[in-house]
Amino acid sequence: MDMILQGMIQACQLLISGDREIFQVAMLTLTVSGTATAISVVLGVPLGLWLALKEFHGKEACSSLVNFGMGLPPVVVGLIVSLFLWRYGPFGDFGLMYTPVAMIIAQAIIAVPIVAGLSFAAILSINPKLHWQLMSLGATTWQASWLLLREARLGLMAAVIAGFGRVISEVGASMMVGGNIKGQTRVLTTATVMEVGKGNYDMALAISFILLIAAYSIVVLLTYLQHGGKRERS
Amino acid sequence: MSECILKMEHVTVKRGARNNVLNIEHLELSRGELVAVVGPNGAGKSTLLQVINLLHSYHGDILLFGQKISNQDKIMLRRRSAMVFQDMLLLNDTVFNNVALALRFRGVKEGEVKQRVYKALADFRCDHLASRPAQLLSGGEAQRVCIARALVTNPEILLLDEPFASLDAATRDELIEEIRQLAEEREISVVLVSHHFTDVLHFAERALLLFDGRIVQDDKPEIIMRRPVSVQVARLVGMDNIIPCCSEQDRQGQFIRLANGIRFLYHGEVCEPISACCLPGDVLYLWDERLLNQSINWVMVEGLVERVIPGIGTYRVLIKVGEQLLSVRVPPHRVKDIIFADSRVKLAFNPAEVHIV
Repeated sequence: MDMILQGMIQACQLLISGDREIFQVAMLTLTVSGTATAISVVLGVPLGLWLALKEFHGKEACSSLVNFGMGLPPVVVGLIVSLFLWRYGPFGDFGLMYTPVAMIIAQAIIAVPIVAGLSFAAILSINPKLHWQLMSLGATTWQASWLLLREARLGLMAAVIAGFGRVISEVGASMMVGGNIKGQTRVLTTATVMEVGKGNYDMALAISFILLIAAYSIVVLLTYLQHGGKRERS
Repeated sequence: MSECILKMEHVTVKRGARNNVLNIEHLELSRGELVAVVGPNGAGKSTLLQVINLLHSYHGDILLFGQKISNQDKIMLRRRSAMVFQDMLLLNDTVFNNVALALRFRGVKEGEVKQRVYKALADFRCDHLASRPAQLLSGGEAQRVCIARALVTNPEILLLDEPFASLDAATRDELIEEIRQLAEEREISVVLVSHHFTDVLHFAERALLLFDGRIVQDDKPEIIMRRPVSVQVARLVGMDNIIPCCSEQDRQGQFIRLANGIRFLYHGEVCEPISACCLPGDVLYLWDERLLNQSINWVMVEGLVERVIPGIGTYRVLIKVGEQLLSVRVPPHRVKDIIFADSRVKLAFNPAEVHIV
């Protein structure tokens, strides 16, 4: 219990003193996870919308693949992305291994199925005839899709929150493709693992608390946006 | 003759293992025509409307507003029609923005949008709701707004997919009358799907009976009501008495024998095999000596009054004849004087008013 208290105090000290290194690690964490979430929204929401609206053979197979992807182990994603990015891999020439870009790629792969799966569920939860009603009123496919997304906004925000929560807290993939290089690819999760490895539990706890504060701040912001939308409707 | 704005030839719709979701051999709709589509659940009524609105894939030929359908101009053709669904499909937005949707989809300027939206809302007496959130409307208000939204673009075809199903009878009658007047004024063709044949009688000048995706009868509603083509149709339109029967031929001519033992000479056309005799309740008369003055070969029936059901215009009296319960429609003054429960009454009907299916 003392150790947890110590960790919290140390976390506050680090934040108040404006520790450069911690600040840089926290910013990189938010940048990498924020970018990965943004990519997952750009790819996952249209995928969820397409799955919800399009009737085609193999739709069930596609949906089950997306659902399976929602539980994709980060270590496996990290391993596969590493195989593609390492020096002799298919994309080795780009020199992306052990860079924040590699971490963004791995985290986006983890988040896309989550955002797609939850978007799919959010769109399915609105009356399926609403799409026909919009088309019947003369909407183009784009106009109807945009309005459906607007109607499913609460569910879509939940998808974004879930996607962000998953990637900001993952460590396996970031460690494998980022390598936890100081000043370059060290994020809060990998820094915590490293401190635990070194036996610095106080520091590990302090970093963990900073991670929790960062994640909570973003989730509060997203939740505010989500419920702001709800208030606007009523 | 009015211009034909819809022509369907050999149009079929398949869904999964079901081959006959819709199977329309031939269907034409003229400008300004008011048509009702009636059929049991799963008959393909909604699918027919969705096909006309180009929302559903199909096989066959459709000429809409004289044009063959291609993927390029589907949206342009769809924009000349409007459809109202049974569910109140309003967005989580104000009534104004909901009604303005169709105009904004078409790129109409905001000034004109405002003017047309208020006009459409005023036509259905709901302009005072313009700034109210759609989710706070009552069922009747929401359905009025849905209809105003459909008519704001001045469509040439209005497709109504049971929009009044959840409304009370008074609101339903009011809305049906308002739409009918507006459609006649603006020469809009309307296709109304309804489960209530009374709606059809109020609204339409033509009715289509749909069973298993096929049109089994296409005629004036009053003809369908009195001369249904099958027992199924007779049940659907609410025929008072559908009595199993068979035909018998002897030297005097063709006789119809009803399941309750009544036998009468029938001069009308009969398409064998026959299964039932349709006897509307208002062609069964309480026997009165004055009927003898008419030169009709009345068929006399005697039965026991089981129940008297009050109504406006006519009372419905259930009379047991043999094993059959006959429903007779009687003017209120005659009910008052003559009929009491458990009393025996004499009835008469003219065989010429009977319909055999």
